[in-house]
Amino acid sequence: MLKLETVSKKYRTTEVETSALNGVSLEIAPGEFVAIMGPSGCGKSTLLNILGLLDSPDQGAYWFFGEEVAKRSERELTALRRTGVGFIFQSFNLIDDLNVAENVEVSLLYRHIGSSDRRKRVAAALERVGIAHRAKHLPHQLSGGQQQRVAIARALVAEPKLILADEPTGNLDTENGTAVMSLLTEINDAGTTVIMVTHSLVHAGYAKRTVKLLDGRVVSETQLAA
Amino acid sequence: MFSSYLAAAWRSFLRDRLYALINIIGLAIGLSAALLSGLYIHNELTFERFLPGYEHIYRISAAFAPPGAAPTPVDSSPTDVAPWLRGHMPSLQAAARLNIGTDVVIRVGEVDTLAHIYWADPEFFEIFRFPAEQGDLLTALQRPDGVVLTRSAAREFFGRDRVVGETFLLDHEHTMRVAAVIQDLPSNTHFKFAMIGSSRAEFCPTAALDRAPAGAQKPWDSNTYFRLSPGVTLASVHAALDQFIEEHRPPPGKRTGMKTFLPVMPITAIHMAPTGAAAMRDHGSVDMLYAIGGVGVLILIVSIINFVNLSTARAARRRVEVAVRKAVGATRGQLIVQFMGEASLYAALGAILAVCVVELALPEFNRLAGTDFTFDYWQHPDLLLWAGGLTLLVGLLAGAYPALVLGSINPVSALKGGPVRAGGLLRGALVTAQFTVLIGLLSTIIVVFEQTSLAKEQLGLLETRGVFAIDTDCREFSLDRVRALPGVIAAGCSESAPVGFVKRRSYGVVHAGVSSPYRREVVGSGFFEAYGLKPVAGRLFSPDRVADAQSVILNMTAVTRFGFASAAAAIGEFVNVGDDGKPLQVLGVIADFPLESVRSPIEPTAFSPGDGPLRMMSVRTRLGQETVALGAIKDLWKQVQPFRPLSMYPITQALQDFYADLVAAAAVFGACSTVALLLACTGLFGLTSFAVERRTKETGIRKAMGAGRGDILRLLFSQLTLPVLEANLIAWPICFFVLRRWLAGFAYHVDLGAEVFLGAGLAAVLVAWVTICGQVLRLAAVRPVTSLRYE
Repeated sequence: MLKLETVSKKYRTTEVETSALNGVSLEIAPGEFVAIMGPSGCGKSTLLNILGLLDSPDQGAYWFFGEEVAKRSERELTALRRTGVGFIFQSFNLIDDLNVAENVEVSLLYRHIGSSDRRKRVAAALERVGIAHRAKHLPHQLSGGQQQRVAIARALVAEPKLILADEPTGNLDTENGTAVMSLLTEINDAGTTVIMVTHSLVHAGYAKRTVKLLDGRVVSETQLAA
Repeated sequence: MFSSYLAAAWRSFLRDRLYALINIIGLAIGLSAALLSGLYIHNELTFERFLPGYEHIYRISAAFAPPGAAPTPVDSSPTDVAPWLRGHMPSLQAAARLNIGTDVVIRVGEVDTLAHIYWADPEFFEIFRFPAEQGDLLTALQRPDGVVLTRSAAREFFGRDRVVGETFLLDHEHTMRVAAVIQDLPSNTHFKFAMIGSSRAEFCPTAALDRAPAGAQKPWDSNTYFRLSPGVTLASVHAALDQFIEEHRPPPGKRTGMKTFLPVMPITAIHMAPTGAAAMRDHGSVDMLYAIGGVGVLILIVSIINFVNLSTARAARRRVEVAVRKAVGATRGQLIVQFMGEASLYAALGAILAVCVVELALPEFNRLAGTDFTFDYWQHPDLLLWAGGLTLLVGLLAGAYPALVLGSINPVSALKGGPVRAGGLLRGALVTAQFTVLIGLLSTIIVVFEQTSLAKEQLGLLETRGVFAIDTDCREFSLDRVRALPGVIAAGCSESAPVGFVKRRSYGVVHAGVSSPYRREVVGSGFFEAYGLKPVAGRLFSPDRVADAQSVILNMTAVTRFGFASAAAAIGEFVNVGDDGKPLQVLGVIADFPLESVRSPIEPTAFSPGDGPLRMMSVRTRLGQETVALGAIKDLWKQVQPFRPLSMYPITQALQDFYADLVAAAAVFGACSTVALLLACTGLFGLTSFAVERRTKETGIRKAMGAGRGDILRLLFSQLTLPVLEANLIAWPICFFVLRRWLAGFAYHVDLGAEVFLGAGLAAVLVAWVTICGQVLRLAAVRPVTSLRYE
C-alpha cells in the first residue's frame, strides 16, 4: 500500500518560492488504477515524482509498501525504485542511441539479472506490447505510438509493483492513445498498481479512481463503479 | 542590435565562465604556437636583410670536385679572389675579404681576455654598412692598427660602450686602436664576429698571404663579398671569375684533374643554402622551416577544432535564444554574424593572452633555440597587423561552424527541446588523435630520460666530482708542482682524454695473429688516478719508472677483442699498438669508460704515454677544498704563464657534451608534451561537455530505471575513456617502431619494455580522468527529477 500523509513540497529559485504540494494526504491500495487530474501547475507531476521516489517531500510522511521513505537517502531511494517502480513518460524518454530492445533492457541492467535471462524477458515484454518486430530499430525510426509502447515495455519488463505514467497519451493520437490505455488496463488487471497523470477525461475513465488536484491540494476523489 | 548581441555574448561568457576560460586559453595556446613559429620562420627568412642595400651584396664561395665526383661546397674562397677582382673589375662598387681569424689574448690595462679576431679588408665596411654606434666605418680599417668592435665586445674588454680611440695590446705584442663600435649582430645573419681587425696589419694571416709570391699554394680561408654597382651584371662577374680560375690553374705538369668552382650567391641566400666547409655558423634548413611551420599550423588548427567542439557542445544552451531571435525575425545571416562576432571576441581575448604568453616564453625559447628573437610589436606595427589579421582569421574559422550549426536551428524543434546534432564522430576521432600524440610524446620522454640516466651511469665509472681540466701544454706547466699544491689529490696529463676530441684510430695485427681495430689514447702518469680509476689487473703508470714509457694499459674491451682469456692473462704480454704498430708491453687493465658521445660504442682502447703532445691536465681536488686548490693553481699559473689567461673548467662540464643532445631532446619533447597535454585536455573537456549536455536526460532516465550514482559514473567514465584507450592502441605500435629506431642510434641503450607504453598509457588515462571527473561527477549527482526536466 502507498500512503501519503500531509505531504508538502516547495520549489525555490533565487527570488520566488513556489508551493507545488500543500498538505496532500492520499492512500492507494495494491492493485489499484488511479488517475490524477488537474490543470497545469497544480502539482500532478510533483506528486507522481514523490510517489515514484524520484523526489522527496519537504514535509509529511510517505509509506511505500509499508516502508516510511520520506527522509531516505538518494541511495536508498534508488534501491527501492530499482525493484519496485516502473515509469512511463509523456515524451517517452527513450535513449536516442540505443535500439528498442536495448532501451527496454535498461530497466533490467541495474538489477543483477544475467544477460540471457534479460534477453528472454525483453523479448517477452516486447511481445506483450506488440512491438517485437521493431526490436532492432532506433527510437527515431518509430512513430509516437510505437515509441510509447516501447516505453511501456520498459516499465513492465522488470515486473514492478507500481507503474507510474505521466500523461502517457499526451503526445499520441486517439487511436494510439486508446491502444496505450488498453495496455495499461491489461497490466493493472494482472495485479500491478498503476498511477497515471492525465488531462483526458476519457482516459481517466479507464482508472478505478480519479484524484483531482488544484494548487497543490487534493480537491476531490471520484471512485468509479467497478 | 549590436548591443543585444554584446549583452548576449557577455552574459553567456559570465554564465559559462569555466568554459569561456578554457576556450580562450585553448585559442591562446594555438595562437602562441603560431606566433612563435611565425617569429622563427620570419627570422629564418630575413637573414641579412637588416643590412642597408643587402639586395646588391653577393658572396663568392668555392667548391671542388675530384674527377667524376660531385662538388664539395666550401663557404670560404681563395684569398686572392677579392684583390684580383678589385684589379680586374674596377666597375664593381667594392670587393672585400673577411678572414676566418685567430684566437688571441686582448690586454686592456692589466687584464687579459681570450677572444677571437676576424681580419677584413677596409672595403668590407663599404659593402656591409652595419649600424655604427660610434666612429666612421668607412675609414675604420684603413689604418693597419684599426679595429672594429661590437658593443658587447667593447663592454667586455673596456667595461663601457664609447671606446673609439682607445688602445689595447694584442697577444702582448701589437698595439691596436678601436676605430669604430657597431651594434651587436642580430641572430639573423651568417656573421658571428665580435671584433674585426684590418687586413693591413702586417702580422695578420691575410697580410702574410698577400706577401707570399705569386703562384704559391694559398689556403681557402677568406669569405669574399662584393657589392654590385648599378649597370654591372652578375654575368660579367661570373665571366671574370672563370678567368680567375683559368689564370690560377696549376701548371700543366701538376694538374690532378680536380675541378674548382667559384659559385656566387646573394647574401640573403646563404642561410638556406647547404652548409659548406668552413662556414662561420651552421646554416638553416628548409626542412626545419617546414617542420616548425607545420607544427605551428597544426597546433593552431587543433586548437581551432577544439574551439569549434566546445562551442557546438554548448550550442544546446543557446538554442532557445536562437529560436526566439529567429521567431521574432532574425535572419540566418544575422545570427551567423552574431556568433562569428562572438568567436572573434574570444579569439581577440585569446590573442591578448597569447601575446603575454609569447612575451613570457620568449627568453626561454631563445635560450633553447639559441636565437635572439624579439617581439617588439610597438616598434613594428606590421607585426601587430599580422597578429591582428591572424586573430581575425582564427575567429572567423573557429566561429564559422558553430555559427552555421546555431544559425540553421529549426526554431519550432528548438523551442520544443529537440536535439542539436553536431559531428560527434569527428569529435571522438579528434580526441583520439590528440591523445595518440600525447601518448607518443609521453613514451618518448620516458625513454629519453631512461637513456639519459643510462648515459650518466656509464660516465659514473669516472669519479668526476672535484676534477678540473686545464688546457695547457703539460711540458710547460709542471705536473709535479701542481701535485704538491694544497687541496690537490692527484693530477695527470692526457692528449685529450677523457673528453676525447683527438681521435687516433688504427687497425692491425695486435697480438698473436689477432687483427683488430683499436683506439689510441696518449696519457701520462697520474691520469687514471685523477679519475679514481683502479686497475682491474696489473698496475697503472708510475712516474718513477722510465720503462713505463714503452708499456700500455688496455681497457676491458681491448682485452676481449685482442683475444686474451682474462685481464690477468694480458699482463706482461706484448701488443703492437705503439706508434706505427710498435710492440708495447701490457702493464695493466682498466674498466671500460666512454671517451665520446654515448651514441658510440666503447672501442678497444690502448692507453700509452707515446710521444704526442699532452694538451690537457686533469686535477683531482679534495672535496671541500676545491677553492683552496683552485686558488693555488691560479697563483702557480700566474708564475709560470704570466701572459696567458688560464682556461680551467670542471670536467663534468666538458663531459656533458657526451649526452647534450639527449638533454636537448628531453627539453624539446617536454615543451611539445606540455602543449599536447593542454590541447588534449581541452579537446577531452569539450567532448565531455558535449556528452554531459547530451546525456543529462539519459542519466535521468537511467536513474528513474534504478541506476545508482556508481552505475552512472561507471558508464560515463568507461565511455569517455574509450577514445584514450583507442589512442593507446594506435600510439603503441607507432612509438615502438620509432623509439626502437632512435635507440638503435646508441651503442648502449635501454631496453624498450612494456612498462614504457603502459606507463605512458596509464598517465594519459589519469590525465583524461582528471579532465573529465568534475563534469561527470556533477552529472552523476544530479537528481533524476532535475535531469528529466532538463531542456
